[in-house]
Amino acid sequence: MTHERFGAVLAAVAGAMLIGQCTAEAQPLDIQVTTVRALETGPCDPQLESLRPRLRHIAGYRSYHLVGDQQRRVAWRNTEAFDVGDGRSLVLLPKRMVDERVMMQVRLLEGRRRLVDTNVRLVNGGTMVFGVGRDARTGDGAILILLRAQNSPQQTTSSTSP
Amino acid sequence: MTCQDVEQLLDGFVDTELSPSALLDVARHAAICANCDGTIRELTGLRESVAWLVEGEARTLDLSGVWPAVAATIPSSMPWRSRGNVVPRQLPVWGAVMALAASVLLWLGTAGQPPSHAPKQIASVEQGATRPRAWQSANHAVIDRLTGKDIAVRREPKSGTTVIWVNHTVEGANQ
Repeated sequence: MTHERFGAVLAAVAGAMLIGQCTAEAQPLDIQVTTVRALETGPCDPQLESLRPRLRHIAGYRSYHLVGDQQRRVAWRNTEAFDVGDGRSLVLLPKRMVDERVMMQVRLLEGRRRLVDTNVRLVNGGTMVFGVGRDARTGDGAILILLRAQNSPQQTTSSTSP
Repeated sequence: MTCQDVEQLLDGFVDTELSPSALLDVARHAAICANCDGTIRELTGLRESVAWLVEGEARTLDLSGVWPAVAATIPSSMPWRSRGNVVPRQLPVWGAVMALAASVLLWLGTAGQPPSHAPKQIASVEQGATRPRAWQSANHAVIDRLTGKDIAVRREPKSGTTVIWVNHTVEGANQ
């Protein structure tokens, strides 16, 4: 490989790195936050029936009720707060795409108290779950917060598959 | 074991999630109780039907048009060899190296730093918070930093879904 070719390849790599980072973050980010109440006994919401086996693996409960489902298209490097009920909120700060993963700061707050503060890299289109259990106000039940992030302007799906 | 006990364990039995002894108990009861045996067979059949339907739908997906659509967007008028000639031959190597180094520095420089308009920290880090640590996983979420009280990280084995669990107790509650 000649020096000229080598230089051209390096320049191309440098350009690709810059352009790749800029274009990925120019696309908006679709966030879906689904709140589910889990209980030991009782019926399961029909819309969660298909997810029940997965939710059982995750949380161990038998009965699941949909409390809320919010979908928003958010901007990068902007803080977005999602009310998840019971005085709690999920506060997201999407930072950038890294290796096809959505890098963001996620805080689960109860009032002003931080229950969780984390930096995660979530697979693009993937779902992660926050669980809050042993709450005196909810008896033996728990709250599951399903967080899905997708950096894709063309596709906005409403399905959730933890 | 009574029919009521079996009813409570039905889902776990069909999913084979019960302990071996519990599985055996339910099976023994089903062997002598036609009602419970029928319920188990119904539930098993229902799940198999659902799985069969989903698989059937997946099989009918027509993906044959995907690659032609992708190929159609690639310009074919220029052969690969001639495309390489648009790069100026006189481009200095050192210039390209500097550009690459600047890109890497820019890329690394922004990594791990919060943006200038990052939200103000609203509370101090609680005692007992876990130390910053990177969890590496091939699954859905990689956790670079995690703080909080009484928290645990789990991964759902089948899908690899990351679960951050807070063993939550309301302050002042009798727990």
